[in-house]
Amino acid sequence: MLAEVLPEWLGVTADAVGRAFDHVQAAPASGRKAGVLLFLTGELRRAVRALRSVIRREIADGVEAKAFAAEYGPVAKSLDVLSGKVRLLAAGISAKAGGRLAKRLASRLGRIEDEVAETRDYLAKFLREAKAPLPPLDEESLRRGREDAAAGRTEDVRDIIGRLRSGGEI
Amino acid sequence: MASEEGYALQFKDEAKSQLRLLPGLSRRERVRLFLSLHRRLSRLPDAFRDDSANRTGPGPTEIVWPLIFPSDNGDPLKFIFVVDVRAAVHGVLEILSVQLAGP
Repeated sequence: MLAEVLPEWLGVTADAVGRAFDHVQAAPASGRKAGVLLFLTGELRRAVRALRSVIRREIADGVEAKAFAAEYGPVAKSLDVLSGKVRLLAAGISAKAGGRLAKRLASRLGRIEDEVAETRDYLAKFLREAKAPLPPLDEESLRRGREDAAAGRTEDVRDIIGRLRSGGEI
Repeated sequence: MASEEGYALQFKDEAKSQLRLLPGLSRRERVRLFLSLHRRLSRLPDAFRDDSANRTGPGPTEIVWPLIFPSDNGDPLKFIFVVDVRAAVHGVLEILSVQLAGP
C-alpha cells in the first residue's frame, strides 16, 4: 500500500517545492516563505526515507519474483521521474539565486537526490533478477523429488527452521 | 484450503539435499531462505496457484515458485522451487525440488 502511495506523493511534493520556490523568487522573500520551502524539502526527504525503508523491509522478508516485479516496477519508474524533478529543481535554484536560503535548499535537494538514486539502484538490482527468465528445471532432481513424495520422505519446514536456529543443519 | 496460519510446507528429502549441497550459501543465508520461504509460500495466493503460466507442465498439480531475498552482501539471491499443490485443499504444499536461479 505504502509503496503505491508514496511515489506519487513524492512527485507532488517535489512539484510543490518548485512552485513555492518560484513564488518566493517572484515576490520579496520572507522568513515565513523560507520556512515553507524548508518544510517542504524536509517532508520530501522524510518521504524518500520512508519509501526506502518500505522497499528494504519488503525485500529483506523475501519476495515472490512475479508479484514483486508487478508491484515495484512502477515504483522504480516513479523514482526515475522523481530523480529528474529533484535534479531540475536543484539546478533551477542554483541558477536563480545565490543567497543563504538557496544554498541551503540546493544542499538539501542534493542529499535527497543521492538518497533517491541509492533507493532506485537497490530496487533496480532486485527487479532485474525478478524479471530475468527462469532457467530450465533440473528434471533429474524433480524426478527424485517426486519419488520422495511417493515414498513419504518429507519434513515440515518449521522443523527445519527450528533445527537451523539451534545450530543444526538442513 | 490454507488455515489462518497459512499452508503447512512439507520439504521433500531431495529439496533438502539440493540445499545442503549448494556451495557458497552461508548459515545466515540458509536461515533467511527458510524464513522467507515459510513467510511467503505459506501465504501462496490462489491466483498464483491456479495460473497455468506457473505450472511445470500440462498437469495442474506442480507449480514453479521463484523466491528472491538479499544475500549477506545485499545482492539478490534467486531460487526456484517446484511445489506440488495437490494437497493444497488440505492446507499442505509439498516442495519437491529447489535450485539456485541467479544471479
